[in-house]
Amino acid sequence: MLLKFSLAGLSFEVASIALLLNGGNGLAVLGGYLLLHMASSALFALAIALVAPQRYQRPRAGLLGYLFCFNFFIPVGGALCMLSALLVAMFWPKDQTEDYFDTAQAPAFVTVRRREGSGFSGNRVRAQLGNVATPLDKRLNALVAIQSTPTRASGASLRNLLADPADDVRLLAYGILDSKEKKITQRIVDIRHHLKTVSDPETLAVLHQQVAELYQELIYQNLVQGDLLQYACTQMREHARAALAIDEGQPGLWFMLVRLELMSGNAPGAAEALRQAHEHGFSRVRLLPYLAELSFLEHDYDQVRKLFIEMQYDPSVSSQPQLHRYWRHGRRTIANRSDSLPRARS
Amino acid sequence: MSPVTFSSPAPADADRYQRRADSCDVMLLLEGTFPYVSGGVSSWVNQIIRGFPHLRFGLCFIGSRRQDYGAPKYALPDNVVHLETHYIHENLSATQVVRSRGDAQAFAMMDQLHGMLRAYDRSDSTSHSALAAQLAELIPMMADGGKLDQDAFLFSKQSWDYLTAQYRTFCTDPSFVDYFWTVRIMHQPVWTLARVARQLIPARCYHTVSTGYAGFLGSLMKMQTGRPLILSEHGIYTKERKIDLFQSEWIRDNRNVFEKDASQIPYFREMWIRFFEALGRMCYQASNQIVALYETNRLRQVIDGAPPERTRNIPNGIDLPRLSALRAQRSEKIPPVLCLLGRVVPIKDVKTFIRAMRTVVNQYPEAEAWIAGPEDEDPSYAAECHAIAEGLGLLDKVKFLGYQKIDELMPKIGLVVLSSISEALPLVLLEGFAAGVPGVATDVGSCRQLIYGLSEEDQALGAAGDVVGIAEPQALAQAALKLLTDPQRWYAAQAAGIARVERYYTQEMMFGAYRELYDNALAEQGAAATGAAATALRCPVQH
Repeated sequence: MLLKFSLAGLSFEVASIALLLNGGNGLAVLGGYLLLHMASSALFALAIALVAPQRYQRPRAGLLGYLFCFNFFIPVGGALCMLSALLVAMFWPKDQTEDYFDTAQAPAFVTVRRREGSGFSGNRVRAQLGNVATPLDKRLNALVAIQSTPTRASGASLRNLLADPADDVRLLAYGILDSKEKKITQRIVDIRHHLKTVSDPETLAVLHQQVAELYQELIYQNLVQGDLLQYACTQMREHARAALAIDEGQPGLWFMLVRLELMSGNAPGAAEALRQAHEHGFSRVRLLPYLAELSFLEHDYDQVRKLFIEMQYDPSVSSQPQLHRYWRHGRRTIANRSDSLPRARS
Repeated sequence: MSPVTFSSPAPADADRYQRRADSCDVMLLLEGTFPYVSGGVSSWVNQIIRGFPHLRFGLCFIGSRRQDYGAPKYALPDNVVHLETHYIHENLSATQVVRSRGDAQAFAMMDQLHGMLRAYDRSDSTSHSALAAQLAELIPMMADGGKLDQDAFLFSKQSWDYLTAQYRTFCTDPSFVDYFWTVRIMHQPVWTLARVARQLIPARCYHTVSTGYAGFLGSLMKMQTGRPLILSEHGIYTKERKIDLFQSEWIRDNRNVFEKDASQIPYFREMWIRFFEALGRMCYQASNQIVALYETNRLRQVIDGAPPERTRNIPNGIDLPRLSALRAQRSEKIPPVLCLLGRVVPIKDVKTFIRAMRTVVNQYPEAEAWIAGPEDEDPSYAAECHAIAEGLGLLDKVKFLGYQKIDELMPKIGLVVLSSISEALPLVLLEGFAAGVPGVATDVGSCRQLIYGLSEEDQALGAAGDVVGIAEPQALAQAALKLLTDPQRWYAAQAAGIARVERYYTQEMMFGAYRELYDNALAEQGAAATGAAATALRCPVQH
C-alpha cells in the first residue's frame, strides 16, 4: 500500500510539474496543476501516515490534514521535510519519562499518620460524630466508642465537637478531654509534691524523670495547646535537665530531649541532645530519623538524603516508604504509582 | 451560680435547722441542693422561699450519703416550717438477711411493670397511664411487711429467680456479678423513696426542682395524695446524669474484644441511663406544671417526654433595687479586673479562665483575675487550678478569693467572666448587668440570650458583652480584652446589660409567674390526704 500510494503520488506530482512547465500559462493549466498537486499531496499524506510512528497516529484526521497541508503548500520541499522528520522521529523519539523540573512542596515530617480516627472503629464512628444530622443517641454512642482511644488520634475530633450545637455532645467531648488531661496533671501534681520531700539524689532523678515523662505524655496526646503547650514544654525540659544534672548517663532522657527540641524547632538544643544520646549509648540506628529531621531543620538536604540512604527501609512504618522514595531518589512520590526507578545503593 | 449572696450558718446554730410541722403549703423536694449545697439552684430556692413569706414551706432534702454534706450553707427562712433529710445511698451494706420465698404474683406484676418501662413511649400518654396504674398497685406492696418489701427484693427466692431470668434474657454483659450488684444498687433507692413518700407530712402542693430521685418522689406524692406537682428544672437533670454516666469509670464493661461493638455502649451504662430516663419521664408525666428557664430547655423537656401543653418558661429574676444601687459605687475608670463568680468546680471550667489570663496579661499587664467562690466542693480541682496559675506565672495576677459578698465585689470589677461548660440561666450574669458590669460568657445555656438578647426588641438593646466557645482560652481572652481596652464599647455593653435586666429579668416578674403557679396549685381541689389515708395511692391519670 505504501508503495502504491508513494508511486501514485510521485506520478501525480511529476505530471503536475510537467503540466506547469510545458502547458503554457492559461487559467486551465493552473487549475490542472492544482488538481494534480492536490491528488499528489493526498497520496503522499496517506503514504507517510502509514509509516508514521504509532504515537503520532492519533488523531487520524489531524495527522492526515497536517501532512496534506505540508505537501500541498510546500511542493517537493514539503515531502522532503516530512521524510526527514520521519527519520528523526524514528531514531530520536521524544523523551516521555517526565519533566525534569517541577515545583514540589517541602515534605513535612509526619512520622505517624495523623488522620483522625486511626486507632478506633473506622469510618462509621467518625461519620456519626461529624454529622449533626445523625440522631443524638447515635452520636453519643460514637463518642463513647472513642472514649478509650488515645487522644493523640481522637483529640482533633473531640476538639471540633466542643463547638457542636448539641449540648450533650459538647459536654461529653469536653469531659473526655478533661478527664484524660486531669489524670496526667494529677500525677504531675502528686509527684511534684513528693519531689519537695525528697533529698536523695537517686530518687530525685527518678522523680524528675517521671514528671518530664508525664509532660511529654500531655504533649504527645495533644492535650495541651497554646500557652499551656509552651508551659508543658518548658516544664518537661526543666525536669529532664534536672534529672540529667544528677545522672547524665541516661540515653533515654537525652532522647526525650531530642524529640522535645525538634518539636520546638530548637536545632542547637536538638543537636546537643542527639550528641549526648549517642555518646551515652543510644543506638545510632534509632537516632537516624531524628538526625535526618535535624538536618532538615538546618536546611542541609544532602545530609538528609545520606541519612535516609543509611536508614533501614521499614515498610511497616506507614509513612516511611514514601519518605524513603522521596529522599533516596529525589523525586516526587505518587501513592498509586509503583516506584520504577532502580534502588540506590543501600 | 451566685455563691456570695448568703452567709454560712455557724455549726452552733444547728438546732435552728430543726423544723418540724404537721403540714405545710408547699413541700419543696430538693435533691442535692438547698440548704446543704451552695450554688445557683440553691440561691434560687432561697430566693423563692423568701419571696413568698405568706406561704409555709416544707423542705424534703434528698442526698446520697450523710457524710457527703457538711453543715447547711444557707440560713433557713422563717417561713420554712419543716425540714427533713433522707440519704438514698446509705445502708447499702449487708443488713440482716431475711429468708423468704417471695410472692409469685407480686413479682409477675413487677415483671409487667418492667415490660411497660421498656416500651415506655414518650409520645404516647396512654402508656404512661397504664404504667402509673401498675405503679399505683405496686407501691403499697413495697411497704415494710408487704409482698414486695425491701427484704423481698433483696433476699427472696422469687427475686433471685426473677433477676437471673432477666439477666439471661436481656443482659449483653458477661458478668452476672456486676449485673446482680448493679440491679441492687440501682433499685434500692426506690424502696427508700417509697418509704419517704409514706411518711412525708401532708402538703397542699409539691414542688420539685429537678427530675431524678426528687422528681420520682414528687410523682409518688402526686399518686398518693392527688395534690398538684410543680416541676422547675434549671438544668436538664436527665441530660446531666447521662453525661456523668457516659464518663463514669465505675461502671464496668466486661465484654471481651470479640464481643465489643464500638458503637454500642456497655449494657450497665445503658441500664443506668434508661433508669434515669424513666424517672424523668414519670416526673414529667405526673407534673401539673413544668417550668424551664428558657426555650431551649423547654424544648428539651418536651423531647424527653414532657407534655408540651404543661410546659412554660419562667426566667430567673434578680433583686434589681439592691443591685442597681451598687452602680453608684463604681469609679469612672473601668477596673482592669476580670471576675469569675462561682464555685471552683469542673463545670465552671475555671482552668480555661486561668489559661485565658495568660494571654490577657501578656497584652494588658494591669489586668487581674479574681475567682470568687468556694473551693471546698472539689479540692483536687481547686488544687489543679492553683497549680495552673502558678505554672503559667500568674500567681500575682490570679486571685482566689473564696466566698465574697457580691455587694462588695461588683463595684470593683470590670467584667464578669463565665467560662462554664454548662449553665442554664446564670444569675451571676444578670447580677453583674444590674450592678453595671458587662460579661463575657461561653456559649452555653441561655448565655447568648442574656448577652445578645432573645426577641428582636431585646436584641435592639445591644450586646451586653460577648460570647465565645467553650474551652477556648484564646477567644475568651480576646473578647475580654476588646471590652476592657475600649471604653466606648464597654459603656455600650454596660448600658445594654442594664436595660436588658431591667426589662426582662426582674425578681418581680419571676415572683409574679410563680405566684400564679402556686395560687393555681393551692386552689386546686384535691384529696388533701392525711394520716392513714395518705398511704392510699391513686393514679393521677383518668382511666
